[in-house]
Amino acid sequence: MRGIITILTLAVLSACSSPVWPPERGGGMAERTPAARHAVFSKVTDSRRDRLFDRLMVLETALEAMIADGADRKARAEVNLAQKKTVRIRREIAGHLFGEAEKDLIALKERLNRIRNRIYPFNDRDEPRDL
Amino acid sequence: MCTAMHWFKKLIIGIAFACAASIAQAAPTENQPLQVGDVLKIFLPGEEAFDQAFQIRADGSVILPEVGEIDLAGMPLSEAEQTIRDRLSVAYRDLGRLEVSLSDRRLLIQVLGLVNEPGEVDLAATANIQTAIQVAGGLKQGAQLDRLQLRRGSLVVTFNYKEYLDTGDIAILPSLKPKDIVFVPASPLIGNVQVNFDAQTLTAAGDGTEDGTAVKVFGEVISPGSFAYKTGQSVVDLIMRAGGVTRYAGVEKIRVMNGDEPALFDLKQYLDTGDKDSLPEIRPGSTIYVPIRVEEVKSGGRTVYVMGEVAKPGAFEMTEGASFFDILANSGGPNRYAETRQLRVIRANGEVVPFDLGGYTEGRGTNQVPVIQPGDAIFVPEKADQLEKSWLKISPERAIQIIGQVVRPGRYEWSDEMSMLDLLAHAGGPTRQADMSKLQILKTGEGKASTIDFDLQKFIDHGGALSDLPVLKAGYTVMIPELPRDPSDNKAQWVRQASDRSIYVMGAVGSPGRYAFNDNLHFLDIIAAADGPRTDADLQNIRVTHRGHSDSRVTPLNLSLYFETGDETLLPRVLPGDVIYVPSRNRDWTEVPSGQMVRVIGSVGSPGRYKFDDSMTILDLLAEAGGPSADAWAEKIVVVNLVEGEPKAQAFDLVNFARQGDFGSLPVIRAGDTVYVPSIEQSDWKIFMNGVRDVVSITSVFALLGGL
Repeated sequence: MRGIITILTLAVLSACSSPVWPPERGGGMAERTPAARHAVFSKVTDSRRDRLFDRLMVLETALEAMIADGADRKARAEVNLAQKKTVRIRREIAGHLFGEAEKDLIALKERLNRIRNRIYPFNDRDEPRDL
Repeated sequence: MCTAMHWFKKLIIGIAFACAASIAQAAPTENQPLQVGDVLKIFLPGEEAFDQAFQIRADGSVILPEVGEIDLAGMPLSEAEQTIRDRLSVAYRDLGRLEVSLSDRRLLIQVLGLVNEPGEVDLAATANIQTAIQVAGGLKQGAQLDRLQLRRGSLVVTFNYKEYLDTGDIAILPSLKPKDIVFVPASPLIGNVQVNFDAQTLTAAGDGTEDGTAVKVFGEVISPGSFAYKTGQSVVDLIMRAGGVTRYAGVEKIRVMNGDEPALFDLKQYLDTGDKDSLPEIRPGSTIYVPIRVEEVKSGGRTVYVMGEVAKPGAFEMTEGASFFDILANSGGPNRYAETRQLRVIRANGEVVPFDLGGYTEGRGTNQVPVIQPGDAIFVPEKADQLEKSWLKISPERAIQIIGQVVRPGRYEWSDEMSMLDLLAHAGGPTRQADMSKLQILKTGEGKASTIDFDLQKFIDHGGALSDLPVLKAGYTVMIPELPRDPSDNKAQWVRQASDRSIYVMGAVGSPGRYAFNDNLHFLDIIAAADGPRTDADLQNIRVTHRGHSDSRVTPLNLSLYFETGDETLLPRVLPGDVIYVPSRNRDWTEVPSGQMVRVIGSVGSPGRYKFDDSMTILDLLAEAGGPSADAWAEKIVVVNLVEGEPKAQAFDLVNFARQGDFGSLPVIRAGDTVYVPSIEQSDWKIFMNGVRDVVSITSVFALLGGL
């Protein structure tokens, strides 16, 4: 009996030498997962992620407004790229890649500004508007 | 002196022939010797052979019946009767009643030369030269009337039959004697060849002989020739005899040569003054020459000159108030060869004032009528016709050159009122190969040349102010460059294509090379001219390098996105000198930045680097990599993200995803990340089982050793 216990102990100890695998974070298809959107409105989620989602929501709303004003006809490529950027940001937020999401939010804002100036041309008296 | 000699000679001849005439014309007497032409009457009864008159022939003999010739000339009539009796006595017995009498005395002479019936003529004893000529049939045309000859033995007497005809002075004619020969010479003007005689022409050519006394009149007279000298003739008479002077005669300087003494005669002055003392003496053999008029150089304080293509160029005296048009009209005005657009007034001080007469008459008062001052010259140049062969007709100050791709390149006359479009139209317009987007104009002036470019194609397409057209001037050169004949063959012409006008297209296109295009052509035009991207072209990573700037400028182009969205703003503006690079998807992997790829390693069908964009997921990536292999540990797929330069790993359980379909469990993947699919050998259970197997094996070894 003692021999059997010894063998099992040695076998379990051998398993302790296997590598530690990283955790799962998900978010790779956050643009299609309701959970990610639901998380924006959750009261118990991480505050940084919430801020990033808030900023993303604002920019997405602005983009949708501009699309409604014809942005997809007047600046189709920029809209296309902006939409891809929102997908990327949403995935990054959901995947806890907050630093990357911060940078992409800035880039998205710049792109949306370009789209806005394309569809709302300003004259010499107007200052370029910023989102 | 010569005239006195002439009269003396005439007097001697007159006396000699007068004496002879007085003898010849006396009534025949018994003692007067018989002469040639005398007609004898021989009376011999019973002999009918003597019932006729016997005339003494030119040889001095008569021919009698039965006895023949008997010389009687020079014998007195009595002696002649005895001579005849003696000779007849031979043939006739009864000559007692023979009588010989002189029944008539006649002149038997010869008329030779230019008469209609030359030969021996039988004249009355009182006949004269005129009678003899008349009996000889009259004078033939061409007879030299003032030089008729009377030959008597060795004596030759020349007399002026024309003078006799003019004056009726019978004394001029020498008396005739039997056996005389009257010779009518030919005028030297009829020449040595027998031709039909043209009296009018011959008369006009003069009537002088070649004995040195004729007066020669030649030069600018109507009918030059040698004319018979007549005493008292003046130079005016002789000029009129020659038909007068021509319109070109220089009448102020007529030359008269008397022997070695030249003299000048001013006919104009003579006619103006009537001064006979100015008439030079005319002698036999004189020569009169009427020279051609030589234009004198007219100059003076009030002279203006009109030259070139006018009806009557020359010098004109300018009157008070005479205008440019007055002077031009006095010169007859420009003729049909005149270039009225390019008149020049050359001032006395050398200044040249152009004047556009054609434009002025058409109401384009762009210039003022020049004021003409004495000493000025108006030059009317010749019109330079298109058909004119000599290009030298147009001076460089009036010409403009157009070369290159026009139908008729060449050198054309220029006027500042014309534009570049006028010039192009006149040159036949551009050819099909002309590159109108970059006309080059070489400006010259002040010993230097500079070049300006002009985009005529843009001007034609979009219009613009006419003042935008380059101002051309005479002396400029306009160059119309040539487009490449065939874009696919442009390498053959690369030398002719300026570097700064080329666009370089490289990489995965049908025909990479140098292309020349104007600024109006689009990016797609250029790509299409290069036969478009190849099937292996990486349309998402086209690069356009803008050269000619101080800094480096590269525009990335996602042509695939353009085709997806149709957004023209994606297409960059490409200018001559730029470089377009279309990479190939099959290019070496080291040329692809790692930030654009996702590395898939481990237990998959095709580990490697794969392109990835944010619309994809790990499922797309694994599918592209051939999926997990049979030994893959699909529960522990690891994704390593590069976050702010630091790696951050997460796991993905593909098996669980397959069971539950939880898309929220898909890990975040971006370009630059790494996906690792471990082998089942790395699972905890596998490791545990391997540990159990190892422990059992070791225990077994120890058990066997203990049993021994």
